[in-house]
Amino acid sequence: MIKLIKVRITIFGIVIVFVLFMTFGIFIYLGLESLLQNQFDRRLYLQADTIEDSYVHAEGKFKFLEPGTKNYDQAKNKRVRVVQNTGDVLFESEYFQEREIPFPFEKANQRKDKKYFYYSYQRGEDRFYRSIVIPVVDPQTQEVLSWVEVSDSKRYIEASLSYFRKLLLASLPLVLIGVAAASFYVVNRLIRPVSLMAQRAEKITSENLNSRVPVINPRDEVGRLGITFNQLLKRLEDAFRQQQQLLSNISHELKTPLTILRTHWEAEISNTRLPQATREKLVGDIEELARLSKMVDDLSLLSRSMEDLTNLNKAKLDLSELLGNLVHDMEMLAEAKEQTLVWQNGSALYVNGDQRYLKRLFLNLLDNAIKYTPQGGQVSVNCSVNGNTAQIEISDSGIGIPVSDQPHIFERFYRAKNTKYGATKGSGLGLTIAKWIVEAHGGTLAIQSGTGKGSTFVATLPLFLS
Amino acid sequence: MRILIVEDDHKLASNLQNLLKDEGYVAHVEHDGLKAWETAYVENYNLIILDINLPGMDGLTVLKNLRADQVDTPIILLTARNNTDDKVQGLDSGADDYLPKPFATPELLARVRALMRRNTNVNSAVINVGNITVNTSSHEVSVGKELISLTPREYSILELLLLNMDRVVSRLSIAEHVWDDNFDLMTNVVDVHIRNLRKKLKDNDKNNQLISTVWGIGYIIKNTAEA
Repeated sequence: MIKLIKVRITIFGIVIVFVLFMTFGIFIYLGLESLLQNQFDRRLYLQADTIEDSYVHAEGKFKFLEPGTKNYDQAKNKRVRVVQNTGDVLFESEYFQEREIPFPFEKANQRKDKKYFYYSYQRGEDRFYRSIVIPVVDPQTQEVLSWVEVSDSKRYIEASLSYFRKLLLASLPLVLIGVAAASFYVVNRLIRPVSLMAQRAEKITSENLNSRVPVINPRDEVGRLGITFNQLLKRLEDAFRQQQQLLSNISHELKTPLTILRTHWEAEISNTRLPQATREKLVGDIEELARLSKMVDDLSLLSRSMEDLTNLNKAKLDLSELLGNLVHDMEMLAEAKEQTLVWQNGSALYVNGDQRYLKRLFLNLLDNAIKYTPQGGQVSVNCSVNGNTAQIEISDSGIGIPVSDQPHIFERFYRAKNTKYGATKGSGLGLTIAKWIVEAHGGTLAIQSGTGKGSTFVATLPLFLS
Repeated sequence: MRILIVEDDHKLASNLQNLLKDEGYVAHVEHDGLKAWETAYVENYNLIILDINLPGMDGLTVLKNLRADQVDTPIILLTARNNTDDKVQGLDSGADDYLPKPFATPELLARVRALMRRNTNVNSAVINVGNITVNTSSHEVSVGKELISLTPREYSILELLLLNMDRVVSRLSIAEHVWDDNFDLMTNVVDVHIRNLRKKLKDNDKNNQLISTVWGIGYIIKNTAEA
């Protein structure tokens, strides 16, 4: 299927013009052929009629064919013959004398109306002739006395038609090229605003919903489409902003009640007058409160638009060092699950980043890796340089993520279906935030995984360029 | 020790008031920013806990006005916004500390105590418990006469427990105090750190342990001087 509409329309135009041109050409051709034929027949008739008219009944002779006259010589040079009803040839021009062309008696006798008729004959492969036969009728007896035949080659008709055909075929490609060029130009002009709109629209993401597509002529259909599209964008932007605002407001408003609950319950856990079991329950509740608070924090982080990213305190920092420290922190945690944490310490890797957020990013990924790797498993962290980017791979020997789940794991609150370990732990926003942070630093976060094969998260961040 | 709590939410304000009263402080509450400015200017407080979102006058303005009025009482800013900009702006305007909501009680108390100590006299920077001496300004810890070395995290945990003396500190609060993020994951690690800390502090006597475990809840350092 041809994708570009301008190519499609051009091809459509060519086909239409081809069909029209051919129809028109055939029509003209047939018309021309019939016109030439009529002219040819008319000429034959006039010549034959002149001879027939010159018959003098009293004398039984054709005045026109009297030997010695100028007319006689003319007739001799043409293709003329006069045949009597007895079958005798009364007059024959040189042409007929030299060639064996039988006179069509059968056809002539069949003509009961005693009127003239035409017939065609062929000599050799490609030489076509046509004759007119006019009966000479006795005015008294109404009997056919003889027939006057005048013949001529159809070569001139053929030549004219062939010339016309060549003309037609030669002009066809020119017409088609012209049509193709014209329609391509016109369609291109029509399509260009649409292409511009598409180009711009492609660049519009949730981060720059405030941009609009260009409208070249607001009064034409394409312009109206652009205006409608821009109105749609405006509504989308408003809705998106409202959603972010709502999220931001909710998380903001939740903080005070969460603090009230937390301070209230924390005051009670030191209260020795309360039974131990109650205090333990309170500790559990406080942990849930903390989880809720973290979720609120994460949500408020995610509710920030990319415009707020200028708030990131970016500076030159060594990823290798940051990761080394993090791995050191997490080692204890891995030990608690009897896991091995492998860290390939490499040379310094400088990126332009916000330390707080990058730390959060790798914490989230390591947290995830440790959480979903069973007792005795292995988690490894690898750093490498790939062109202008730093690549950080965090692999685990865990249960892996089914391919069907992989496109969704960065969505808020998404959990893979085969989750068994710590299914209720965490805010469910860890990977969403990880992706958000990587993208805020101009990088990408990818996943390579399969069920039972473990998972590898690859964070690619642009290197610091001085 | 007089503390002024400026917080528009009445419930939270009274929670904080009760908490600080339990700790032996005298705590007053103001709900309105403008009133808080007047009160803090007229009365003499040792510490002010100031919320940013306030009716009448916002916390940052109150803070700036007080500093302009030569009131140098230590101020802890409370805010719902966990935003670096606010933090920087707050500290630049003359706040002594910053605590994002929601916060853990031990965290608040530790900061209150740390500020109180810093602003009284040099000697109070040293805390003595049993045979352990901790200098909160130089971060030096000694067992008996012997100086021992702690990792920054171990020191941080010890200090939190000391500043919350006689109060149970949950593993969660310790984790939150030591690690900014992902503390839910770190609560397991707290036990490991406490074990290492006890080893270094030679705190092995099960019957008379400095850092005692409160089962299912957390850890506590009891003031042996009182006991």
